[in-house]
Amino acid sequence: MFRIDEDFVLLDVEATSADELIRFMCKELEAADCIQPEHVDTVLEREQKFPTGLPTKPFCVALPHGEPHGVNESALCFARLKKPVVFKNMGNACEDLDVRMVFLLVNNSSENQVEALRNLSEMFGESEKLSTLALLENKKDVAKMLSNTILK
Amino acid sequence: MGYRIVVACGAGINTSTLGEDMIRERLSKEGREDIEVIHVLMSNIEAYEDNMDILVSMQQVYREFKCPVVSGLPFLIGTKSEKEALLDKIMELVKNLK
Repeated sequence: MFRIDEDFVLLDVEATSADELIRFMCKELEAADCIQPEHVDTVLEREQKFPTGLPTKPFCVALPHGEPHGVNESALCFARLKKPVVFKNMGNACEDLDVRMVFLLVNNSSENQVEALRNLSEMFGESEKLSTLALLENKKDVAKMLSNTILK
Repeated sequence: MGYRIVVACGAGINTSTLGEDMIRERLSKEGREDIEVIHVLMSNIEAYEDNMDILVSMQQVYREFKCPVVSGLPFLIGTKSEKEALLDKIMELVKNLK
């Protein structure tokens, strides 16, 4: 199961690029010992080759993740951005998407993560859920919603 | 000759396993458990391309394949009905397999 808690909920984040944002989010996970320092490189590498921007509604999200190497504990780091950051579209790498929320997943592949992915994808398909996530005021509520949605 | 559906993604947590899971579930509902479904990394696709009947890709596909290619993105971001529609589309292709 993915670890989802307040420590990994980042609100009002400012970043000028997907790269910068990914580094920032990985630093949080590294500080909590979920990942090793080199894991950020696999996430960045994957984002370069196979971008993770998703054209969801009412606004776009991104799902950066790397190979399951250098991960101590499976976790989700969530960032809500002050201003949108550009990610390339997973389905069309030439297209820029203005992303408002980022779900960075680290997986140590100790278990089957399909259920969590399935729940995450259900949320991506429901614009009301994404809208709610955008409006929640504090980290606790955000963590709770993510937890209830993804770990049910 | 067994048929095979390949679901491909970029890397990492294997979003393709999501597609694989949903396709298997639907095949089972339709009594088509004879069809194999596997997930692979797009970077390894050459090893599989001569042995696949339908390719479902989570990423953009930049080249032609011998078999029909379908975007698996709705499995990740589609509404319930968009997901169903994609499964319907795949089942149509399955029905045309010889």
